[in-house]
Amino acid sequence: MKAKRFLTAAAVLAVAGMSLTGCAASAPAGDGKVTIYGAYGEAQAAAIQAELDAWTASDEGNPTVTFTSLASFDTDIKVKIESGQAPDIGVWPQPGGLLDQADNLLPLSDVVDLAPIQETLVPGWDTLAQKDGKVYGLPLSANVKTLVFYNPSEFEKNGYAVPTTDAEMTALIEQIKTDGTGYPFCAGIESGGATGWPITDWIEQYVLDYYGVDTYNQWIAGDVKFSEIPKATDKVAEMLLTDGNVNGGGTSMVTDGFGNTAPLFETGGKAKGQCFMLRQGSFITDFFPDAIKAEVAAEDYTHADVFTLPAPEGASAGVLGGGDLAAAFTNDQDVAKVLNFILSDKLGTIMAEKSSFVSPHKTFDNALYPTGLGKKVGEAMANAEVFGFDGSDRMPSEVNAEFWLAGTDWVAGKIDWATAADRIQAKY
Amino acid sequence: MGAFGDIGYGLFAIAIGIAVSLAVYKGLDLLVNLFSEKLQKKIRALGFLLPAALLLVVILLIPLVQTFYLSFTNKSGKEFIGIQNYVDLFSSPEFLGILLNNFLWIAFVPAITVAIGLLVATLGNNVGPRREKIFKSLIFMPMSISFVSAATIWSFIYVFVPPGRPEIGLLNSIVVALGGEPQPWLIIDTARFNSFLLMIIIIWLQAGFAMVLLSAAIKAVPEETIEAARIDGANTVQVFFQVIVPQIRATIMSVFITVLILVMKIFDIVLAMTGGQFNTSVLGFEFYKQFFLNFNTGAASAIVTILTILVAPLMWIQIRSARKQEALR
Repeated sequence: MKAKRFLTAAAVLAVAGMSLTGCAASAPAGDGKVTIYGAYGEAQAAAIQAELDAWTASDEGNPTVTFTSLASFDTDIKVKIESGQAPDIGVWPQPGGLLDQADNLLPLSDVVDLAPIQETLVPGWDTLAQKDGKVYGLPLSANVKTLVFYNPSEFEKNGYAVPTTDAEMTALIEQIKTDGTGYPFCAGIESGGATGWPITDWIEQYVLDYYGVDTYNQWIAGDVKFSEIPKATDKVAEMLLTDGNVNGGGTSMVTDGFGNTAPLFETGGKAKGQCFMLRQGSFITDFFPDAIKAEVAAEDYTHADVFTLPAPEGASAGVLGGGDLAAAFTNDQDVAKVLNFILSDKLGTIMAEKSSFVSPHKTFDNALYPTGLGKKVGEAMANAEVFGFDGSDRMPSEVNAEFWLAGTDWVAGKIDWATAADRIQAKY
Repeated sequence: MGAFGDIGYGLFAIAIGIAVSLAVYKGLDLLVNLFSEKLQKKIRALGFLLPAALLLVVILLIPLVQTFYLSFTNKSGKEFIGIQNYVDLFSSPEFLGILLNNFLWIAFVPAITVAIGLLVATLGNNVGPRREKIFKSLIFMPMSISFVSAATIWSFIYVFVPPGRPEIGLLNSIVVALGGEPQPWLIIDTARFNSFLLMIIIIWLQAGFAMVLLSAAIKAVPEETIEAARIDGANTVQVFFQVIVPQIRATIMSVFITVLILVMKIFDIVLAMTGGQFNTSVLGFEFYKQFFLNFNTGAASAIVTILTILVAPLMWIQIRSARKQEALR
């Protein structure tokens, strides 16, 4: 009992202490201090702080900026807001969470001139966090899922070239099957309780490509039905569920872990279940076999490299991914200065070097990405005609869960897409 | 402060806890002493039962009533929507499939567990004391494994690898050695085959528990009754079914119902093996999904209420049979 009381007292003191420092930060205009709360991990948080410090030092008029990472951002920021400790700027990992707080935020146009920022952004980012025609959030950094990992030495051995168009991709798939050298794709979707999410990424990718970002966003909101995206689902079926495209077919896909990358580095051919391509987010390198991981870390891309998944004929080249979006709680000249910097294509010189940073701007200097892999991922973003924020995480959780389940049953061949679509739609 | 601080606080809390409990009982005792001697005898026991009864009300009864109420509310648990949750559940083919799964679990697992337990207990009693020890230890060992660990072990038995990749599945290795084709065991839902594969895990875990209790019960059967039957010309089978089994019926019942209740609440195995996919979901898992993944308080409460209503009569039977057993002693 007493212990608890002591802890309570300590907690009260700590909160009181925090609120004191919080008060100092949200003082009126021109006090030379700006606070930012974000959701970055340790490495990225350190990198952005270093970059902000360098920016502060670069000009005498620039304010001092403190970046603080909150452990579970979406929940923690709500607590901070409710207790009157909101920062000057919040950086959300999800546009949904940001817009939930729109009442507490300022439209960005009140603080900064949006036109020059939006001009250099990859399309799709500019209207992502928009409510009632007002933009509340714009991106600082991004990550990319429209990536295909492949094994260059195996491509070379068999005389395959990296496909740059969808037609070349189709031809390559046919070539691999005719040659009997292996299977075109590795596409395990098993992930324990989250089994099915990788297939939702595939479908999202082609909804974005075929139907554009507006329809994509309406689809996520539930206004466009799951049965109304046949081009996307047919394309996924063609790529993955066609006989011989994935080792063992849909049955293997649903039992094979998404992180099972070993067949991509197999050299024994079809008999050993070798595959040639793996579409995944950049994080998948963590799931590579240790030897390959070490190679990639040493910038040796003999056995693992990446290209952008080509968009289908007559569709736009959409990039699927995620990112962190900044929104303003307060408005003064210092905040405006900081926002103008962090939302521009100038942010990233230090972050790109020290963390897995990808700029959401078309105009970001590609040479700033330190590794060959990083340059390609950055290129994938910069060259995208349109960006789509990873959809299923933005759907209501029940819909998302059913998308995984029904998608898995569809891949396993237990139900057709019409049934799967009905099941998912019923959860809205 | 560090770890020592935590331990210090822990010990401190334990000490305080014991002191407070003692004080409460002492206080109750003093309170009871205020009454007349005649009354004291009657209410002393009641007074000492009071704290436990209060705790039961607070941590069992109140949540039960609360859950019952919440099952008539909407997703957030704030708005009253009548029996809509129940209507939704019973009109969803998926939920009816889940009820079917639960039915299969309770129809097969307790009976098979008891049968295996009985068989092993009887056979074990007849192989000599040394072999009996080894034999029974082996059967009992799975009891000490947690459900999730058991699921991990069995996932290596059932695992299916794509053609050409190194085989790591035990069952598929056996099938291949016998000249068959590897099968994706856990996704075969024809006739709920995959659910039966999950049931085997629980049977494996619980057979030891059944064996220990039944073995003890069999050993307690008076030797005279068996000898008398033998002298009258009964064979081994007749002795077993007509002399031994009737005398250990109460134990069989309580083992059966204990396993039955465990099976009705089954959750961990399903979560760890299939995540409820491919028609293997059960009530316990569905509750978890609705509450912790979908944040759907109303539906989750409705599922738990259904589960409670189904389990309650069984508990009543178990309590009754336990009472009967006590009466016999």
